[in-house]
Amino acid sequence: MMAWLHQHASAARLTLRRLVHSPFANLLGVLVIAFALSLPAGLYRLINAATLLGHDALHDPRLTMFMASDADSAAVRAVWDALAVHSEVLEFRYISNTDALAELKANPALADVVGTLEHNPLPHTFIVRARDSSPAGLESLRKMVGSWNKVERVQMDGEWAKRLAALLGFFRHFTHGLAIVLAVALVFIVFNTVRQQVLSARDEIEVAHLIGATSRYIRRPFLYSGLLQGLMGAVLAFLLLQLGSHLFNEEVEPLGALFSLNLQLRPPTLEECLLLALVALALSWSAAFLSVSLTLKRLR
Amino acid sequence: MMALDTVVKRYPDGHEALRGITLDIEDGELVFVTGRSGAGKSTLLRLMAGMERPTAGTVTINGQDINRLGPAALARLRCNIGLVFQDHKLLFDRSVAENAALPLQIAGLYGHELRRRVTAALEKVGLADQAKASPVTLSGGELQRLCIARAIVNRPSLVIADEPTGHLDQGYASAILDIFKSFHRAGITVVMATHDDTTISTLAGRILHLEDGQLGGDSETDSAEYAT
Ligand SMILES: Nc1ncnc2c1ncn2[C@@H]1O[C@H](COP(=O)(O)OP(=O)(O)OP(=O)(O)O)[C@@H](O)[C@H]1O
Ligand SMILES: [Mg+2]
Repeated sequence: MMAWLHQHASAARLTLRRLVHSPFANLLGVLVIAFALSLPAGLYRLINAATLLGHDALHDPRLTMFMASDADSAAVRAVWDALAVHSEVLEFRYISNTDALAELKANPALADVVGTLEHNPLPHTFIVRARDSSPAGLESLRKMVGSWNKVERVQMDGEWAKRLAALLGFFRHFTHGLAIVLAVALVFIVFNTVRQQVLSARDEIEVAHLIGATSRYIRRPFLYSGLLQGLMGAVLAFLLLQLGSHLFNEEVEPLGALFSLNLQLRPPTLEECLLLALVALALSWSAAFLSVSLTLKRLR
Repeated sequence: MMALDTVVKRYPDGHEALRGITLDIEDGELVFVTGRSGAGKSTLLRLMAGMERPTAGTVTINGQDINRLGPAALARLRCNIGLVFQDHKLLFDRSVAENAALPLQIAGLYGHELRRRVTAALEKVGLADQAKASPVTLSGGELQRLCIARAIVNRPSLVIADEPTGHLDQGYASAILDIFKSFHRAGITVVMATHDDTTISTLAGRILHLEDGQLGGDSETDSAEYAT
């Protein structure tokens, strides 16, 4: 048992020695692996977040009424009163154009741009929930309020949710494809790095083979090397994802808040991290195994 | 210890390097394999070491027919045979001690026991002082001695050496031969290829003479030294 452990430990040491031997090439490989892992993972996370968003809108459809830009307070008042007594309106919320602008200004990312505006380009807005949230009920309400004085446009949130769902379906397919392409890239990178390591250790391998090393013994450090690359790639990918969520939340979340949407990306869960690591290790191990087997066969 | 029965070795290019060799080697024998260049000495030694399989006939080492052994079993078998190669097969980016330690690492030894055995092997060939040196700094004779140290570090019962004195001048060569003589006295079976006649004249043992892939002679030298 101790001897077995020790053999694995010495293989691991050999792996590290080879790693330190050409740190730059290895680091580059790890970097690419990290991107190959984090890009599709990040896209999936975005898509999932967006899907949840659309989900809310689909199941809780709302109308957004934009007032004309020349609508004065009397016109707004009239719409307010009409909504308040309308039997089909469950509830509504009013956002004045000054409130909307103030919210924009509060966003550090937009404050500069907003500050240069000479006058407020935003319309007064009402957000309305219908009592009858079926498409037909919404549509009739939309037609009705759309005809009111100084109401320029009425947008059905359910509509964009449908469009979003279709778009997300496309992106999902796209991400699947991308993930496969990047998985192939990952395999290729590990394959190539391990191949280089095998080739540069060919003397060592020949001698070890001559004095009675089994193929398993010879393969082991190279498999470890592949696993190590995958693992380091996964750790780096995890950090990239964290950084990505952080940046996303910093920049995009305040924007979402404007429309009272929850655009927050939560940090990756433990399961997601494990899945990422598992995928990385499985791919890199297979790539290393394939590489070392094929390269050794060619050397013989 | 070892038996060959009508062994034929044909290389992929069709050349028959060995053409029907039958012989037995007993435990503790000192055997020289002689013959002109191309006679098949190295081929015979590689078969005896389980590094290659015969095209026809059987090679039995320690009761095991190597044709019936898989790659892993063959590797295990080779662990128990000390091999000295004519072209050293040393690793020049490792120290003398690390080179000698290789077979032990493969066998799974480590720590104190490994260091102890490496030191013992290096002492036997007179290289203990250079344990930490790089093989690059060694002379031809010292390299050959390191090769021998690596071959015996595992305490094999059989040592096979392919022209261990090949490129050495007489002083170095006789130092190497002394080492093999001491192995022989310790009861280790030694098989050595050589085309150096002075080697044989100073040592006593069995001579297998190869001629064009066939056994042309099997005799004992009657060296005076052997009698004493
Ligand atoms: N791998 C190989 N492929 C094809 N032919 C080979 C191979 N190895 C050896 N031979 C041929 O087999 C014959 C015997 O070779 P071997 O190396 O056994 O001779 P040797 O007695 O050791 O010669 P030397 O004294 O020069 O080392 C030679 O004719 C050689 O050309
Ligand atoms: Mg030869």
